[in-house]
Amino acid sequence: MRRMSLGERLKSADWLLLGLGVLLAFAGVLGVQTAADGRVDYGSIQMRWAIIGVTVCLLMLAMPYRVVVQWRYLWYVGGILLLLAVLVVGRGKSAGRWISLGSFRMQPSEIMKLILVVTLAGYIRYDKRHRTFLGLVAPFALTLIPFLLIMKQPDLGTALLLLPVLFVMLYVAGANRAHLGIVAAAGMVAAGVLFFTPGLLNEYQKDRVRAFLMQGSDDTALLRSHNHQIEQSKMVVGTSDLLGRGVSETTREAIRFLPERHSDFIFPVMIHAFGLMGATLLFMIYLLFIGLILRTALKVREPSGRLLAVGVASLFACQTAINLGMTLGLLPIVGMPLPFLSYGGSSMLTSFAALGLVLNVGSDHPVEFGRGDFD
Amino acid sequence: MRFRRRLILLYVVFCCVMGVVWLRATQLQWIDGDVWAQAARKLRQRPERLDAMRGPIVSADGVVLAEDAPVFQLTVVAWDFQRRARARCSGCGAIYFQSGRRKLHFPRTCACRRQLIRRSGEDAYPRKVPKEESAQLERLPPADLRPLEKVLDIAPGSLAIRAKERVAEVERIIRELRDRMDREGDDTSFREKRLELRAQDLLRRPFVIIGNLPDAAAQLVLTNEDGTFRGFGVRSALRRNYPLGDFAPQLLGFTSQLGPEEYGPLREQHGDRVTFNTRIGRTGVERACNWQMHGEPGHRLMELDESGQFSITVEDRPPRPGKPVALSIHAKISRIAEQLLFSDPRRGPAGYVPQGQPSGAFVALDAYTGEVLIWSEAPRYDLNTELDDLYDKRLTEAKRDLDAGLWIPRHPLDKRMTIEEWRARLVQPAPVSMSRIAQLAVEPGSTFKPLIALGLLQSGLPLPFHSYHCHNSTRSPGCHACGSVDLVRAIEKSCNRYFAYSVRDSKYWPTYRTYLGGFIEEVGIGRAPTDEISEWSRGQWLWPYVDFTMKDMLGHAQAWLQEHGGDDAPTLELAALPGTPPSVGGDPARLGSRLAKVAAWVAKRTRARKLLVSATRVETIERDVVMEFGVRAAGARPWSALPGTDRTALPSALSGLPRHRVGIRGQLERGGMVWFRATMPRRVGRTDRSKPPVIRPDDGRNVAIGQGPVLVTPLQMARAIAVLANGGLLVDPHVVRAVGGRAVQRVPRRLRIDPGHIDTVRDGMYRVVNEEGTARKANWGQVPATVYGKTGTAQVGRTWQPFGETEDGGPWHHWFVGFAEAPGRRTIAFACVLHARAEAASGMTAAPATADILARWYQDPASRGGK
Repeated sequence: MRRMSLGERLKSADWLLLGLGVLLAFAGVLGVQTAADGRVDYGSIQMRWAIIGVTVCLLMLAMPYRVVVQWRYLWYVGGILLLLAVLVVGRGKSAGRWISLGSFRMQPSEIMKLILVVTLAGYIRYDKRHRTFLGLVAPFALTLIPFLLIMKQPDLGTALLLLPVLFVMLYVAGANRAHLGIVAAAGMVAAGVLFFTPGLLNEYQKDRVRAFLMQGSDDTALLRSHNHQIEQSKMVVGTSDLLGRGVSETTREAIRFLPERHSDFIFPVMIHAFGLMGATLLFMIYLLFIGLILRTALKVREPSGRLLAVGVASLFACQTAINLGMTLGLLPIVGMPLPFLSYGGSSMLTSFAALGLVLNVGSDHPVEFGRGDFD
Repeated sequence: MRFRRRLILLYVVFCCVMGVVWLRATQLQWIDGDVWAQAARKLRQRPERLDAMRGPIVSADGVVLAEDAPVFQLTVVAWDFQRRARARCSGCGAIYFQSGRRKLHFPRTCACRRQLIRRSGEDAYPRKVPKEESAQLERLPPADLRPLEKVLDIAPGSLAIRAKERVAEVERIIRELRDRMDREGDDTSFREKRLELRAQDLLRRPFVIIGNLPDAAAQLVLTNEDGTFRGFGVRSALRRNYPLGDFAPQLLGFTSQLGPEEYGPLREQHGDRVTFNTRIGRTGVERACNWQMHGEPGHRLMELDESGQFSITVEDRPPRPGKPVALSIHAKISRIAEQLLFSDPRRGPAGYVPQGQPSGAFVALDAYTGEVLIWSEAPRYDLNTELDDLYDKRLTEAKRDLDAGLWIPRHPLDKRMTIEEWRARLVQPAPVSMSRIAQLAVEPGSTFKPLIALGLLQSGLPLPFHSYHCHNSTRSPGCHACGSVDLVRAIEKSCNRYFAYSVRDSKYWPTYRTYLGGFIEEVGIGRAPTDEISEWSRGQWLWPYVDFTMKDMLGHAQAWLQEHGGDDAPTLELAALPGTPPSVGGDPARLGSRLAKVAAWVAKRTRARKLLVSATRVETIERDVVMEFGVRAAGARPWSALPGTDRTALPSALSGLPRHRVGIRGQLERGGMVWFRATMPRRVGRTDRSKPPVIRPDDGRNVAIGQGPVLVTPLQMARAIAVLANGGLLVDPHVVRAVGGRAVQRVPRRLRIDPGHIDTVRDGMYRVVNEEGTARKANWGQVPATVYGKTGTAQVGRTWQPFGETEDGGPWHHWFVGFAEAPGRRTIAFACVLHARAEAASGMTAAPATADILARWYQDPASRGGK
């Protein structure tokens, strides 16, 4: 197998995809700048992270993705160790999700998402066992270990994101739909049981689900307090117009009561500033972005590359859908950043690293490849 | 191909999801946009409650007694106060404020720091810069608060102490909030944020430490620019101001802010009139006319402008001030009366001074309308300055007096009350805050005699004695050796023997005591003067009847057996022996346990499951009754009483009692019984308030001379005496003449009293003042009116004894009650009491004081008019 040179890879990289990523990141910087309350200059920090993210993306492009996949268990063990470490030394205002490294706070669960995609892609690529029911055990086990560790932090949102990514990867890798359906149904039943089992979920997590189910009600103070964020978010969206209010004092005034507006709730800020037109444009960019990643997956014949691209696409797609659904009151609130837009170094770096991997996959055309397309 | 299909399917699903999300965003904006816009607008608005000014209280002579006035308040902000340690930059000389607890650090604003950062290339604190090169911060001594303390006239250092106490309180609350955050372990960022915001808000919120700041002090703080008073602030507020300070504080009462537990019920009752800032009257007139004086709070709705300031007024409804309350009291003459009563050196030795100032009262009311005209009492407190620490103060004072063995206003006559119980009861009332006119009821002494005389005459029965010879007797304290007296002369000479012994010896005494019980109550004794001010005391007329039935006692005994009786005891059945009186008196809990012990022992000895209990009254000693209880097994034939007691087998619970108090009569197995005796108070007077009271035979002598089970307030006495002044009208004493310009009318009630009887008593009272009576020595010449009066010297003391066994010596309450009438002038009924005097001579104190006051009253134009 001949490896492509760096020059060849750069030449054949999907620059449109990178451009869309950078465009989203720039829009994010603008949104974060709008959402910042003036005490901390989040915009500049986000810009810094965006630049570092692009650099990371290019670095990922430079490194052959198959090497990355080859070392998958090393990444996996490293990621698990980081997740264990976060349980010991984790810090955070609401949940212990971060590890402080000087002035930088790392969120291992963000990195773990990408590591899991890489690990699953490496595991599933030449394997047919996942097409049997028992063969699903190993990929599920690989997913459930970080899932449980992330749940423990607790970071329900990130943990729950791992499952659809696994399902999508198994599905495109040829797993039996009936098997996946059975597992999904069993999972839902288990989730129901877990929800009502005392001690497994924190009360606030249950409250959020209850608050979501009782939207609009103000029966109790508790529900009011949990609905507050959703209500504020809907209010910010609802008070905008077609073209938005722009990045102005009016927008800042309108969003001042929205908690977490610079991170998870950046979308209401964007829609208030740029209106429904801006939001539609944002949706189109995301659709195009995911579509381009999937096109890369279709273009590539090498299975791990395909799976990597599909995994990353599902990661972005699920994150986007959950975040947007959450901010518009369609889903309960979970801690889920909007890729490239939400404030946060770990999220930005992981997103760009994932994008770098996809670009790598798209630009690296091996002369020979394994078997067909999972037929 | 399958891979491709699956990818396309997934992409389509994603597109659908995004489509749904887009539709949702469109719905929120286009369909629900108005709803959200309205909600958002509400969020940008800030409603403000505008407190209404409380209505003023004005006296009859136009003196403002209470009003809402804008005042300055000194506040402390915890955040700033914690950071008031001063430091000076050696580089630029600027002064910075820092927390005194931590190491000094350069503030970001200091130019020197910026310079150092540039030089060191660090973006944080320039630690690496050598000390000699860097500007240093020098700690400065604490700011001097003495100028402010001097203006406030408080001890040096006390301002900082007050502020520290308040800051410590804030810190404690914040600690609790943060503990709650940790304990709940909740991570919902907004809830945690909300708690944290509350904590931050508390840190930065100004808390009042001085409620009424003098203008000079406010100016000092406001004009200070060098940060001397950092942490302190001045704000303006409405405060209830009492211009005369300590004038009739017990009558006027005071206001305070609502407590959290009061808010809900009051809000339900009065709606929008009640807010968290609402102050309500707690006592006196402030309480009685609270809602009339309260006013209607205003409302203002402010909206944020583009710059984020609440500057746009959307709605503005100004508050409506409360109605003024006009009192019937004449403040100026009342003030003069205070001087004459309590500050005049001619009043002789003050005797006991229980609260650091003399205790007493003078009240005068219009005999025909019941309007209270003069209200003077002591001790008083300043409503402007002493309210905050009043509670602590009165508690401390009460304890101090108690420890010093000084006179205490009143103690119960129950001889069985332990000293601890007595002390506990004494600390409970508030001696300072208790009105001596309308709340503190004491024995009226001889001033009660006119009422008794009127009652005797009114009963329609022949008087006990047409003429009675009162001879001197050393065994009868208080005997003036009046010689031959009839009723009129007995009032004039205040003859105790006439009223006490002769009444008792009369054959009509049983009828008298029945009639007098009701008559005295009819003239307002033992009844609240009016419901205008709910705290006004109704005094005491005859002791309330406290009695317990046999059923109660057996119930307690059964309960005791259930709890302590051992294995078999709960199955024991106790029943009253047929023929046992249902009422046995005494304390059922104490006697019940003893009864239970005896019953358990008897049951053990006889193996009986059912026991019969008998109760017999064996002896009556003054106020007490000795009851004998017997316990025997049911079923056996009762053993005929035999002399001889076998005490050897008694249970330990009983063997400690004296021989004559416990024993066994007969053989238990053959119907014998264990008996024990108990002495218990027989507080007989009336069993039910709906029934007319009857004087207990033993109380007759005391009641007749205003001692024993009768306690009255001066207001009650003035009211009762007014019946003699106005010819049989029972007026309703009241202080509120008008509310918001509308007069408060009270119609007096006519009593069925023979005018001839009134004249007889008036004759006696006339002689008290104008002939050879007990008040003759006062300077009545200065009073341009005919004065009728009666002196009274009531005995109080720790070891109260029934009449005839009284110890000599004080303290004594000096009373003078009566009325004055003059053509073209208002007829006034008055009562004067000076508490706890050392000498037994009310004619030398209360009567002259009254004469002085009346003289000043008749100089006042307010005395003109009336009937």
